This record gives sequence, C-alpha cells and structure tokens, in this order.
Amino acid sequence: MIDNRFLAGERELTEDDLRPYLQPLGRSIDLSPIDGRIEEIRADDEIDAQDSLIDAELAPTLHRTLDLTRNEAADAGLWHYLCIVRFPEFVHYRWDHVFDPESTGNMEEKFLKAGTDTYSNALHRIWWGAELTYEEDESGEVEDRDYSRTKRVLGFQELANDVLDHDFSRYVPVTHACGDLLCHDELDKIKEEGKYADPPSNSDIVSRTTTLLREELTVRRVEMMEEDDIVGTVEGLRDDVIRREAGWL
Amino acid sequence: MSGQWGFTTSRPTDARYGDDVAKYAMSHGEPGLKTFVREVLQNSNDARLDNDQPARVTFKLESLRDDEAIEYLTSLDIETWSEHANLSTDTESGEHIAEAIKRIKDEEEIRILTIEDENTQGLLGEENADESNFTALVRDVLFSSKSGDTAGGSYGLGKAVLWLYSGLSLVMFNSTLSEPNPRDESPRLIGRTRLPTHKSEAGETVYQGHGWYGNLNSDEEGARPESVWGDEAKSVADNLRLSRPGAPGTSIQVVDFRVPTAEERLADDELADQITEMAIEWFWPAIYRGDLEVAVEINGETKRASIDEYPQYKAFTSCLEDHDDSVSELNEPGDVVEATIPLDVPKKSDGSGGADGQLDLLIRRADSSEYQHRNEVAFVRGAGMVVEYYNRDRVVVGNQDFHAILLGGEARPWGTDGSSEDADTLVEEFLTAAEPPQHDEWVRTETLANTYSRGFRTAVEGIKSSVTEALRRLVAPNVDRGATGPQRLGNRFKIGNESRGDRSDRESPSSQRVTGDTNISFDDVYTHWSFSGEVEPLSDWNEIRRVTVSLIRMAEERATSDRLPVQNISSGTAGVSISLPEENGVQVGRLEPAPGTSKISFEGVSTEDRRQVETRLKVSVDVAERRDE
Repeated sequence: MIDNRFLAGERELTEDDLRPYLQPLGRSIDLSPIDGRIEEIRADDEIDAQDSLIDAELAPTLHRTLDLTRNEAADAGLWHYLCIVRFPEFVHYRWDHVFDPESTGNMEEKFLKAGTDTYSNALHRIWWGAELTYEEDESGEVEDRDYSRTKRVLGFQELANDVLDHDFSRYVPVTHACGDLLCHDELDKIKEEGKYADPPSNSDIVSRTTTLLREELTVRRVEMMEEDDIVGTVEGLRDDVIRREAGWL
Repeated sequence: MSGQWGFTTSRPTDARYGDDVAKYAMSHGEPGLKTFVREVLQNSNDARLDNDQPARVTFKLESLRDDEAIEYLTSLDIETWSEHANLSTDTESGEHIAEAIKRIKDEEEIRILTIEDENTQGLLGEENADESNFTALVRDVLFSSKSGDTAGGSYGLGKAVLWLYSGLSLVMFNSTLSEPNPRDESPRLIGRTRLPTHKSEAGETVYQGHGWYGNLNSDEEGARPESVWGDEAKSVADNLRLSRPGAPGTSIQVVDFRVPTAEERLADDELADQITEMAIEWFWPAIYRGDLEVAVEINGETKRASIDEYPQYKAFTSCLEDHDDSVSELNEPGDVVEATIPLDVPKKSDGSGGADGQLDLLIRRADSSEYQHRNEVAFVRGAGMVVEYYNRDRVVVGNQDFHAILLGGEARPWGTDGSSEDADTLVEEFLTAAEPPQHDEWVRTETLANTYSRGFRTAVEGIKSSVTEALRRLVAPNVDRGATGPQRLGNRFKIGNESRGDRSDRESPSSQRVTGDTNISFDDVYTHWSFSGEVEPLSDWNEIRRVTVSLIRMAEERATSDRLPVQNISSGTAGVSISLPEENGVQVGRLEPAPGTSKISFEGVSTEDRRQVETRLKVSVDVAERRDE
C-alpha cells in the first residue's frame, strides 16, 4: 500500500482503506491540539519547511497530547496510523527532501519505522525525543512539564540523530547529560570563553563525542554509573574532542 | 669481619652504561612475575646434579622493619654502596635506584627475596675463569655456560632478571659448591650490583657501574672484590639472612624485591601465592617427574608447591600418565589420543647432525569442569619447563574441548617405558636453539640461523601448523559431514570476530573463500592490543594475494567507523612482504605473500591505547586462483 505514489504525496490513504488493519487503542485522545500546533508552525515565518526546528516546536504539544505509556508508545502500529492516515501532510512537510523515487527507503521509514527504532518514524521520533528529555515538575501535572531540553535536542538535528539513534539514549540520565552538555547554547558558551583556539563545528563536536561515548560504553555499564559520573564522562569526552580537533593534544 | 663494596673503574673514553644491557633486554619481554619465576627456576633446574634427587628450590620472602632492617642494611655496607648510587642519579635508572634507597631508609623497611636451591652444582669455578657457573651467573653479561647444549637457558640473559627485580639493582649470592672447584671451603659468598656508569664526586675517577661485595685484596683504586669463603662467608651470610643448608646449591638474594611493572606493591602472602602458582603453571612437567621441588616460605612457614593444589594442571599430567594407553578416538572425557608431529632437523652448517625427528602430541578430551587452559597445547622439551601454551580454541568449529601436550626432544618418550633416541637428542638441541632469550616459544632465531643449514626455517615454522592440522583431525566433532554441508556452512561464517552487523560489514567475496582463526587481547603491561591470526583459502585451487588487518572500535550496538592504528605486524610465514599503509588516514597491517602461498599467519600490536574500549580485529583477505609456479 505504501508505494511510490503515496511516498511522493500523490495519493492518500484513508481510515477506510486501512480499516481491516486498524485496532482500537482502548481510549480516545483528542488530537486537535496537535493539528492546531502544526498549523501555527507552518504559519511561522521563522520556521522553514523541513527544518529540524519543526520537531522541536511540535514536541511539547505532541507529547502532552499523546499522554501514552512507554509500552503503548512502543507499538509501531500506532505511529504508522498517525503518520499514514492522520498526519501525512505533516510528514511530507517535514521530510519531503529525503524522498528519492529511485531509493525510497529513507522516506518509507519516516512513515513506517517505529518500535525500538526511535530515530526514524517522523512522529515517533519526536514523541520519544520528548519522552527522553523532558523534566517532570513537582506538581506531576502534564501542563507543568518543562520541555526546554527537548527543544534544545530536537532543534539540533545532529544532536537529535546522534542521541536517538543509539542504545544509550534509553537511559534518561545519559540523554539528559547529552542534551545539557552538547546543545548549541552550551557549546557556543564554551567557544565564547575563547579557551580553545579554532574549535570544531558544533555538529562535529556532537558527532565525535557521542561516538566516543558509545565506544566507552562497551566497557562500562551505564546503568551502574552515578549521575555525576555520567555527566563527568560526557563532559570529559566533549572537552577532549574540542581539544583534540583543535590540535591541542 | 664483613665484606665491603668495590666498584671497578674505567677510562673516561670508555663506553658508558645508563643501564645494564641484559637487564634492559629482559625488561622488554614481559617483566611480570612470570618472567622472574620462569627464569629463576630454569636456572636451578638446569644446574641440577646428575643424580636421582630433584633440584629443590625455596623462595623465602621477608619484609624487614625497624631495627632488623637497619641491622641488615648495615651488614650490607649500604653506606658505601649508597655513595655510589647517589653519584648515578643523572640517568633514569640511577634516579630510580637513589629514590628506592631513600624510601628504604625513610621507612626503615625492606623486602628481600632469597631463592635457595639444593642438589644443584653451586657457583663452581675460579673468580676469573673463562667459563664457569660462577662467572656466568655472577660476573659476565650475555655469556652462558650451562651444562650441556640443551639446558633451559642458553643465552645468559635470564639471570639479568635478578637485578631487574631488585629495586636497588643489587643481588647477593651464597653458594655451597658440589665439588672443590676452585676451593674446598664452602660456602662462597659474593654480592653484585649493576649501577649506571658514574664519576666520583670530584669527577676524576670514572666508575663503570659494576660493583662487587666481597673481600678486597688490593688497595688499588678500581680493584674488584672477590668471593668471601668458609667461616668468614658463613658469618657474613648469617648477618645477611643468607645462611644455607649443607647440601650443594646456591642462595640468591634479591634486595628490595619488586615486580617492575606491578601497579601496586603486592602483600607478601599474595606474592607467595602467585610464585607458587606460576611454578606449577610453567614447571609441572619437571615437578611431576620428580626432577624439581619448589616451596615458598613466608613468616617462617614453608609451603610446598603441589600439583594437587592446582588441579587445572592435572589434565596435562594425565596426558603423560596415559601416554602408553592412548586410544584411537576421543570418545569420553579423559580419553587420550596420540599423534606424531614430524620434525626434519636439518644438518648443521658444519655438515654434522640432521635427522628425521618427531614430536609426540598427546591430546586428552576435557571434562566440562576443566575449563582452565582448555584447548591449549603445552610445548615441552627435556628441560621440563612449559615453553608455551599454544591456544587452539576453535581449531575447528564445534571442536571437542581438550588439553594437549607436545613432547619434543628428550621429553618425547616421557610417560612410556621407552627412552630417548639419537634423533630426540638432535631435536632437543634444535628446539633449544629455536628459543628466543625468554625461552617462551619455538621460532626462527639467530642461533638457529647461525647453527643450521637450509631447512631450519620450514622445520621450526612447520611445528605449529602440523599441530593444528593434527588437532583438526582428532578433535573434530563427531558429525556426519555431507559433501557440501561444511562448505555451505563455512560461507555463512565470516572470519574474524566482528560478528555484529554493520553497514560496512557486508559479505565480501573473500569472506566466502577463506577460513582461519583470529585472536585479539589487551596487554595491560604495554597498554596496547596484541593480535594474531592465521588464514587460508578454503579451496586448494586458490592462493592468498593480500591480507589487510585493521583494528575496529566497537560501540554499544555495532562497530563504529573509528579505527585504532596497527603499530606493528609480522608474519611467521616465509616470503611475506609486510607494510603498514594508511587506510582512511589510519595505519593498517598489510601482508603480501610470495606466489603460491596458501596459508599465512600473522601477529602484531596496536599503538598505545589508553582508552581500552572494545576493539576487534578485521581481516580482509584477497584470494585468487593459484598461479602456475
């Protein structure tokens, strides 16, 4: 059903088309806040189509509205439905640039991947990006949650990809440390301090640091590490990267 | 009456020594405790008297404190010695020695290890003999005079470990001689230190660095003190805690004993346990046969090293026990099969010798509980020391677990009623020449090249591949092999240990055409990875054109694109050209064999790796149809 025409945005699939395959979630969720937020984002002159800022801006609303358990969120079918039937326009708006009629894999996964792959499906990715980075308020109310870290991570495509594509992101203390220590604000601050001459680009710092972290975790069990240790490790690797790439070591 | 230190002088124009050459050479092997225990026991084992008694070796470990330490150091004439040590601080090793003596004086504590052997020859020979036990162990550097051509140590390098393991580079000897040569008034006592070349305070005298503790018979500056004998030696030995029983043999005292590479100082009892276990691990053949007894003494308690306490070596001794009762197939745990490994000893350069020799390979099927040294082959010759444990894990897919010993030379008939033949003696001599200074493998050495004519290389390098082939035949799982089954199965399994999927890890044509074995492990001593491997084409019609070895960094879920540079690679296969080209900016190991090569083995190391994260070996092999030679 998901053919080239659908991926190119030339054909739609309705609930009726997919009826034999649909299963109820068991409760009803009002998706209109998401529609509303998508409209606002599309109308915002500061946000271009296909910009990673779209993910950052949609994440708080998507995550608050789809107040799912992680178990529910791990069900790929839910996300297939949302992307294919409910929000296909959004998926095209955000990801059309990856469509290649000769090789459709990249576009296909924006509609069809999900499950344990938190990197690919257009909405699943945003939801999990938020789930792994938001900060709960003392009140425990959905409305009071702090999504500032979520915005920093999803608004920086390299960071979002490098974090979400890897196993370590499933452990929230690591995702938080990466979000806090490798975001643009933090890296720009270090650069402004002028401590390191000719530092590499923020994307390079993120890409190298997360690679080194993944290598480090072949010999250390992250769930056994204290949070301070995690922060210290990420910080140490990041500073090594900045130094090394700048030719300091 | 006590001895005193004297340091030989040299002319200002003579060569200077920052450290001892032999000490330096030994420190570049594997200066853990293993090297020390192996070398020391080998010395005693080789000096065993020709009777039916074992050589008895006791390691006595003592930590002296406060008054005991001061008394001991005073008897050692440490003040004179320190004056020289403190003049040597402009070299790295001199600085370390000066630091060690300062630490000992500040803490008033010193650890000494005395190795006492009995039923051995003792330090025979004149002070200035050209060749004697005395001059070889105490005086000379890189001369060896062990009895017979087939003694364990044939380089005279091994003894350098004594000084290497002394924080002060200072070793004392006390010996009861087995014959009145040169005098009939044992014991004989002498001390020896190896300091860097240094100048007197005023700068007018240059001391070569070699210092001697003994009787100074001449007033001349730079004269060498000589051995103290008889009652006088006994009295000095008493003060130095170096007294020994009446039986012939030598006591060697390593002053300020330390393990050069140990990160932290081990407690005496831990050290004692390690010495005991290593004695069994490397000398179980000599101990089992009753040629050697080893004991360790701490705090006045002596514990004998017994194979019974280290049952993991029973699997090997059982091979010897069943040498005469071998079966034809390994059906049950405990079954032993025997195979013959041919070794054509070439003639010597002078035309003598040469023999169609053989080694006996005994393979015992392991019980599931016998996991230590599992799938390893202990290489042993007449000296009774395990030269090497050759790991043959996964020699064939799904092999039956085993322990094996390869008996060569004089050791070949062990466990049978037979005795060694002329050919065995020639093999023994050949294998001895094939051991490098550390005596830890049989390889192509300079001695071999200088002594034997053509063919020595094929002979020595063929041993391991013949062992591997025999093992493949004998430990293969008992399954009915279809004509195409194993081949098809082989195609599914890629060589190397990079089994987790990766985009760059697609099956290449070579992966379907070769088989082999690889191994990589981290070496804590040198903080680098050591790797080795062996590859061969599956088809006899193919030959290997090129092998590229790279080291891949792993991440949590798959390989990364990071590579660790290969520092060095070598090949045990003849005619292989070796290079270290860069691939994507990282050095890899490349082997290009001579035409017609079907099997190629290699080993190497990475650059220093301080991160020590999981790293795997990737071996890419180019094979092509065999060219007509």
